[in-house]
Amino acid sequence: MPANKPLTLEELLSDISAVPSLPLLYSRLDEAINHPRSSIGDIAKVLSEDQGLTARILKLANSPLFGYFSKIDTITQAVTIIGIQQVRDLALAISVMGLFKGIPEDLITMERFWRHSIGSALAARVLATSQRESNLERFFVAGILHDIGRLVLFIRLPELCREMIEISGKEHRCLYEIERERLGFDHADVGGGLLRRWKLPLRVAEPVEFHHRSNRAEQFPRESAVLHCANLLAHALELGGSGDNSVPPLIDGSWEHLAISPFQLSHIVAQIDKQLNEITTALYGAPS
Amino acid sequence: MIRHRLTSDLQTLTERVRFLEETNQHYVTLLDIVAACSDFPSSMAELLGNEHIFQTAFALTKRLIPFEAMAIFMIDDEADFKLSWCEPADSREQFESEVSTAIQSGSFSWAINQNHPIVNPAADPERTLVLHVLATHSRIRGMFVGLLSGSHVSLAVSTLSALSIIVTYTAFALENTALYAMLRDHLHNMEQKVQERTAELETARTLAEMATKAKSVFLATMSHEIRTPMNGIIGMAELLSGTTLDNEQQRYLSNITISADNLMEIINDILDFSKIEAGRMELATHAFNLSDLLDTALLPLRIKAESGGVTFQVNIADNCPAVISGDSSKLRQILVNLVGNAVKFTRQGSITVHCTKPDSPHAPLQLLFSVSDTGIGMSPEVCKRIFHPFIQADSSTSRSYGGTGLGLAISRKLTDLMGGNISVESTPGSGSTFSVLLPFDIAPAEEVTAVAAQPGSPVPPSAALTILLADDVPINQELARIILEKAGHAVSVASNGLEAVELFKKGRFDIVLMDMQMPEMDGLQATRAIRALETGKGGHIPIIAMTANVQESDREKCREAGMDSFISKPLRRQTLTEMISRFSAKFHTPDRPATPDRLLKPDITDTSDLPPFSRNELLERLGGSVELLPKFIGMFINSLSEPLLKLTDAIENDSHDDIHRLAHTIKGSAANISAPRIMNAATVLDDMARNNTSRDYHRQFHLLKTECDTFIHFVGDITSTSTI
Repeated sequence: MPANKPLTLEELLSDISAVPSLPLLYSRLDEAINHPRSSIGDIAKVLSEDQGLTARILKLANSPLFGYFSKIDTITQAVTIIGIQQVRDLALAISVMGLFKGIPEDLITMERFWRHSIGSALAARVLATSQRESNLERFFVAGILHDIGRLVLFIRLPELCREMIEISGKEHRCLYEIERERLGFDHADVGGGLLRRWKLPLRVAEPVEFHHRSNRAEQFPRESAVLHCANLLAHALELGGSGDNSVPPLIDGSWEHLAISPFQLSHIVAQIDKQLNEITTALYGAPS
Repeated sequence: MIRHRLTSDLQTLTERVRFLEETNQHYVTLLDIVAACSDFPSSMAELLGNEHIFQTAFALTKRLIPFEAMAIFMIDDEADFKLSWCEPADSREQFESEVSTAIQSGSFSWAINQNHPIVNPAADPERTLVLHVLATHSRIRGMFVGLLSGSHVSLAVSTLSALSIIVTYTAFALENTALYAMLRDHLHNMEQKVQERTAELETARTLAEMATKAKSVFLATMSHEIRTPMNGIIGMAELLSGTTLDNEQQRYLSNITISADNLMEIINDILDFSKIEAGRMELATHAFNLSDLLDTALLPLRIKAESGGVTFQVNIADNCPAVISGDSSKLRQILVNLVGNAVKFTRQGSITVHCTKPDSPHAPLQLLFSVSDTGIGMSPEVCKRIFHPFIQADSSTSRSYGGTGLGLAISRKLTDLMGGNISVESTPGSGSTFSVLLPFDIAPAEEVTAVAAQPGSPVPPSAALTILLADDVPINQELARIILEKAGHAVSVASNGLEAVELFKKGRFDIVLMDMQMPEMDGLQATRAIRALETGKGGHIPIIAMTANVQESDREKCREAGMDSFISKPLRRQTLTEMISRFSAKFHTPDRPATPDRLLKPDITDTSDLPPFSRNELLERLGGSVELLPKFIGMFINSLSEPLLKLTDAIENDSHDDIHRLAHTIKGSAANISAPRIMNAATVLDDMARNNTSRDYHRQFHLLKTECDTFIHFVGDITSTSTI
């Protein structure tokens, strides 16, 4: 690794051999949903092609995340009951989680990483509920994906990451600050860049890119603020980890932006705790 | 092969182009429909009601999805979903049964909490039921229900997002209408409330004004009602003291008098304070003699202080004008309060009242009065709060020294009212100095002369007069009648103004004494009636008002009605007789023949109806040699000073024999010179010493001294007028 030559974000992401591309199934699902003539049946058919994905979606659909009054048995039911856009977002979250492989275990275990991501996702979803947001799954998927840039860094620059984690631990500083010093950008920039390359909606990509500086988000400041606070909650509750062991600072105004009374906080935390294990199993555990 | 591949590619491309064109067309249509959501005009909707919104929503939805039938269920006041509108109209029953099935299955309640369409097989197996909640960010307003033919699985998904947009717009339009209606109701209610409140406030204001008026009337009435019985008590006690009493009775009576005086003082304090608080205290302006005011106002306090062995001094600096213009009664009240306190709190040492004109050449006239004592003094903390009402130095003060705690508060208020200021400096244990700086006017020259010409107190005794007394309160009538008759006047009593006017018509009177508040006809009306009669037949009878209201405005009313003077209630014998004398002097010569019997009768205590000096009697004794009068009077005055001085010592040492001898000497020479009042006072003192029963020497001795002063003042006038 030529340490003297700084790597640009573009260079980092353009290495096709190391940076995964979006699963084909998701692209097909997206196209099916956007096709003017496709029906609910067509969409169900596309999803059914991936048995693992179908099983996980049904598991999620029957989880307390939705709390439907009776059991959802078929993917068609899942699509009509949970909603088409919502199922698409869940499918994206599930697909991405299987993409990253071969990360050195001393940097991060996948289990720990996704636990943090799912914790943030649940927190984002609960916070969004309190904001009466209409599509909650969009917040959920943003939570799952928010630290995805770090996985890219771990794959592409494992040595540097090891060094930066060490510095962060020694100096008690946030990892993303050291990333910015050493690379000129941080994992949030990498994640945002990746999601843009994948042509995912900006509503997801921008909050991921700005989850450490939500006050800079231009198009989706509300979503960015929710994700910023959700990430903090997951850190504070020590739900898994993403390589960064310190709780990042709260950006001024982001919590106020949500207008959530401090008295609601314990209720929010209780909800996250209640759902975390089940959802982690549904998304990451062995498909039953 | 190549051709085949080309044909295949061409087919694929053609297919792709058709797909893209179709997609494009689809999105254009969607955009068009979504843009048409602006057809929900809120102002129109307000006029036309929800039906208009429903119709617009259905028209847009039909362009998007080929529903067979559509309905909207709105939430009513009991939180039930009620079918509000459906198309076609005859689908109502079908919708109600479909929705009831969806409610039972649970999908309806699920749909309430989702922000996307819920697509389920309908109860009718041939159809699909689409549910979409009508909700805004703030609340759920109802449910959109649509029926489609065919299976739900075949429903095109790309239009469902657009359906969400239309339904959400519908919800907002419904909310706008509801909010608009609510706002209008609120405005209407508020207007009504404002009107109600205004009316309430108006009523409250009227009530408050009435209450204030009632309070003022109450205050005025109270001052009358309280003073009337007090008048009776004090007056009757005074009359009782003129009768023959044994020593025990005299002691009791003197206690009654002291208590009644104290009570009167407290009542006056409270009434004064209420008046000041109510802003009813008015300022008068008239010219008065500063030195006279200080002497007369402070005389009782001087006597009290000196009888307790405290030196009492009044100094008026040379730079003070003799006659000034201002409210003398307020000044008197302030000084009496301050000096009264000084006397109360000083057991030994001295009390000094000092009056100076501070050096301020261009400023208007200001006088600085200071009252210094060598009494118990106060700590600085106490000084700070001493001018607040109902506050005394500490709670034990009221137990040891009495008082309402209002005196200084009143003094401060009066000072403020007059535009001056009051302050105190004090050292605990060594005494206090109260300073009052008050503005006055320099009296106009003609008033200075008028004041100087006024007969000083005491006034020569008056001739026997015929007096018309009008008062409705029997005890007041009685009191005034006795005082007047004892002074040798004839009295006719009227119980109200009407009677007074009738009596005036029939008889001939020298003076009228008129109470202000009487039934039938009050004092002012009666006075006007009398003055009206006089304009017919000529003459001007002096009318003196008797009033408990000492306000300047009341006095002004008296003057306007044609009264000549006023005398404040409760009636005091001395003031009443003096007042009568002052008016009688206007139409009688001062040296009216006196009855020798009356003069020589050693009336023990009642001396005030006797003249201080009987000129005719002495003149008779001197064989009519007027030129000898000054000589004899001078000799007598000189002879007084020595025994008086010795009496002070004798009383101090409780030497009964010396007191008897000295009092007897004075009694003898007073009888010779025809000074019956001095003679009586000396006789009482003599009797006390001889009987060895009374210890009230101090009081009687001061009475004797006062009588001597009165005599000296009186003869000063007589000798000067008769020798010229």
